[in-house]
Formats: sequence, structure tokens, C-alpha cells
Amino acid sequence: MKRREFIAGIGSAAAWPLVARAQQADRVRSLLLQILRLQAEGAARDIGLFIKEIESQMGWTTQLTWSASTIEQRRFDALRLLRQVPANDELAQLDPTGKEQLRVSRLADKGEYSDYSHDPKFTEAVAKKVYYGPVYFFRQSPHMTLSVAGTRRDAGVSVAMVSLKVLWDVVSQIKVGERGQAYVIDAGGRVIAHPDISLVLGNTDMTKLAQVQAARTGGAEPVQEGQDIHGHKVLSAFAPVSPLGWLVFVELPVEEADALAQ
Amino acid sequence: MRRREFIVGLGSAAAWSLAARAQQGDRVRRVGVLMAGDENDGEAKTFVSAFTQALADLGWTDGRNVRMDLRWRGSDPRPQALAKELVGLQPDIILANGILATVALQRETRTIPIVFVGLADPIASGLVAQLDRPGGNITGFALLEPTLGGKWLELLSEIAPGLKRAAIMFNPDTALASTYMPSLETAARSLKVALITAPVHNDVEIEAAIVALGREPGGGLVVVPDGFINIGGHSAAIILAAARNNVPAVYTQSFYVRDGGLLSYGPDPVDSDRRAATYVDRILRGAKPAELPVQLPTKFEMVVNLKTAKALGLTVPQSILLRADEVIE
Repeated sequence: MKRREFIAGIGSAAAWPLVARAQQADRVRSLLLQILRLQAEGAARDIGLFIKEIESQMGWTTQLTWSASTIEQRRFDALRLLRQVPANDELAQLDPTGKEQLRVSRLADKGEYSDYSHDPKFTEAVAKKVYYGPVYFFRQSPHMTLSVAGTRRDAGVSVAMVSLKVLWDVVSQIKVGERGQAYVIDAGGRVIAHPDISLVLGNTDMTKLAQVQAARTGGAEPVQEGQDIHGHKVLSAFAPVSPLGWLVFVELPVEEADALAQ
Repeated sequence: MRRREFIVGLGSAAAWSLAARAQQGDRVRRVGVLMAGDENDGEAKTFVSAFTQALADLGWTDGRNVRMDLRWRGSDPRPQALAKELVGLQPDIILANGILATVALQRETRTIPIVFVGLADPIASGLVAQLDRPGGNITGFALLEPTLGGKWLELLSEIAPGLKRAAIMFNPDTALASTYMPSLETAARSLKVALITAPVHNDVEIEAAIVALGREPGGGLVVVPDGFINIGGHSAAIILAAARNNVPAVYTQSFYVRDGGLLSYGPDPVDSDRRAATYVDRILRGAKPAELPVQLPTKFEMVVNLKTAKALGLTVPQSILLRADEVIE
């Protein structure tokens, strides 16, 4: 069986029966989908690791309890964290009641400290140890809040403002064929990384695309052939970024895929 | 079976991207580069190699599918002839380093795409209509960060705890000091520091302003990023006067500190050079500069000079040492 396929493969195209050619096209297509999926999985893994790494680095800013540490010690720890984690633009430290006691930033100080006691950045972190905030835009680039609570309640909560520009690098490094591309959507279905940055800055809603809809609802068969935002047919594969609820899509125009199958 | 499919899949992915790259090479594309500085300047060389490397990572190799035409502005404040020459080569795209180079190129062409790096405020300079939709043939990577003003003052008072008065030095003809003034004023209020503006046009005025500042203790200097001050030896005049008059000073660019200045904090220029390659790549693949938003800096670097601190009688606090990307001893 295998050998016969191989011989058919090296035989001249003109000699192929039409059925064999159709089978060949199907095989190329499933191979392409597999490559797209592998790329999506790799990117999703990279993004997940990026977030997990920041989370674990933040861990040691919530090891000491407020009673056992001076504010100066905490300030040093916070500055050191910013030094270690380039994507961490700002770190606030909250005491066990949710009041901000310290803030260090790469940019100028924003003044007054706030009370986070009713803010999910504090309450969710206390309840679940970690809180991943929604993606928002600041100075033209995507950011999110990442809060981490200490193992002991009186260690308080650290709240980081994380720059997600690294997603843009991940996405731009994925090259599939000639016109294949990757993009990332957040849990709400809005695009947060795309080679076309104007879509990102326009905070474009991708939920109308069939493949995005199917991936978001889960369960059903994934949509392997969908349309991109401009209405061109694409082969599409995706992978989830755990634990953020984001999705990475990698897509290739059907036209290009068909050309490869011939 | 599964394993075999997987291996075939990977193999074809690699071969495939090679094929895609070869196709880009059908026509050798021309990239013009107009650099600030001159070719013996180590820092400028670092910029060029960061850009070239990033471009190669995206599949564009000099000499194969892209040809780079590099021109150095040196200390010429009016690089119009160079801009004309580059535009005359009819390149597919031009990378412009700094405000003077970009403005000179803008005068020469409204059609050839230009990607800029190393300038502060492209809107105030009349290069783009708005940041997220530049609108014309120019886009790029700005150094604009208005809140840096406050950061400079914070850092100055941290490294020089006796700070009472801070002079903000800039050339009113070339610098956009107003961008930084609101955050400087906010920080000055909370740090209880009096702000003095020190507009300068030449070395004599630079010297006079710094001498005045050094007459009484508690004076400090903030040098706003400025195309004028950064070229033609004006930076040397500032560093020298600050040392002679015992004035602690903070700068944006790290080269001031390597040349003997006290402290710098500002956007990492190599980072934006690297990112500029992503826009050049996109434009070569058909994107329009009008639709590529101007990007703002995300990576900042701090450099401190311990020798200079010691000469000024300052002890650099731990809080600055542990943040510094480079410490000059």
C-alpha cells in the first residue's frame, strides 16, 4: 500500500487518474492543516510560558508578610522584579486589606495610592491566588493586569501591569508559506496580536469569523476552512493559550494551499 | 503512520519557508538608510547591525534579495543633499534615523515609504497626521514618552537628595521641551523642587546656564532629548560644564553617561531599530505606511556613572544601582 502510494507520487502528473489526484490534494491539505496546528500550538505554548514565567517571578514579592518586612525592603524587591522582567511595566503592592502601599513604575509616578479592596485585581487574586485581567490598550500597545496573592493571607497581593507587545513578536515570527499568518484573540474574541497592527489598534472583533466562533464555543468540530477578515477563504487551525482563554490562529489562503497541492 | 506524517510535515514546513524566501528574491529590493552620526561611531554601528540582523531574520538579506544603500549624516545639521541623493536612487523604502534625517527626506518625497526611528514627537514635527493612522508615506518608531519628564526629576532627586532647583535644558529651535513640561511640573510639585527653564542655542549659553546653576548647592540639570544638543560637540560642553560646576545631571541617551555624564534614563534605541525592521518587512510585502501606526517605546534603559557620582560627592543609592542596565565604574 505504502509503496504503491510512493510510486504514484513519483509518477508523472499526466498519468495520474483523477481520483488519485484528488486523494493527493486531500493529503496535502491535511498535511498543511497539521503544520498550521503545530505552529499554533507552538505559539500558544510560548505565550503561556511567558505569562507563567512572570507569575512565578512575581511570587517572591509576596513571600514576606507586611508585618515582617519594611516598605524599603519591598521597594527594592519590586525594583528588582522590574529589572528581571522586562515586560513588567509597573508593580503595585497591596496590604492584606487591599490598600495600595507601594508602587514602582518604569514611567513617572501616577500620584495617589488607591484602595483595591473591592477590585477584582485584589478580590479575585485573594480567592484564586492569581488573577488575569482583561487585555487593554495603553500607549498604543496591549497590556494586562496580572495579580498574584501570597501563600499567607497577610502577605498581601502584588499587581503587575504587563506589556503584551511580545505577542506581536511571536506573531510576526510565524511564517507559513507566502501569505500565511498568525493572530491572537483574547477571551472576548478581540484581536490582540496580528501582523496587521491596525486591526489590533482598532480592537477588531473577530467573533463573526466561522472558525473563531467554532473555536470559542468548543465541543463541535473545528472549522478548518473559514474566511479571513477580508473575506478570503483560508485554511485555519488554532490552539488555546492556557490558562488565559486566548486563542492563537494560524491561517493560510486556500488559494495558496491549492497551488501547493497541484 | 502518525510519526511519519509528523516528520513529513516538519520537513515540508522548512522547505516551504525556503521556497517562500526564494520567491521574495525574484527582484532585489532596495532599502535606503539615512543615519545620524558617522560610520566610526560605535553606537551608530550598533544601530545599523541591529536593524540589518532583524531584517535578515525576517528573510531579507543584504546582497541577496535586498540591497542596502547606507548614508551617514555625520554632524551635518542639514542633510538635504544626502536625502536628495538617496531619493534619487528610487529605493523601495527608506529608513531614517533621527528628526533631521526624516524631515530632510520628507521634503524630497511624498511617495517613497519612509520608516523613522530615534525622534521624539512625529505629530509635533509635522511628519504624521495621527499616531494610529499616519496618513502619508511616513511611519515609524517614536521616542515620545511625555511622562519621562517626571521620571528624570524623580531619579535626579534620588541620586542627589539635596536637590532644590532643577534646570530643564533644551534648544527651543529644535527640542520639544513642551512635551515633557506637564510631567516635570507635576513631579516638581510633589518633590518640592523649583523648575527653571534653560533654553540654549550654543556652547556659551550652555556654559552660562550651568555656571549659574552651580553657584549655590541644591542645583541639578535635566537635559531634554534634542537633535541640536546631541550633535556637534554640544553634549561634551554640557558634560564638562556639569563636572566643573558640580552639578548633577540626568540625560535621556546613554552615550552622555558613557562620556562622563551622571545618569541616563530613556527608551532603548536599539530596540526600536530592531522593531523598525518589522515595518520595513511589512512594507516590502505590500503594507501601506499610511496604515501602519506609529509605535511608542516599550523598553527603557538606565545607565549610571559611578566615577562621575564620586567626583560630585554623591553616593549612588541601591535603588538606582539595582535598576541600572549598565554601571560605569
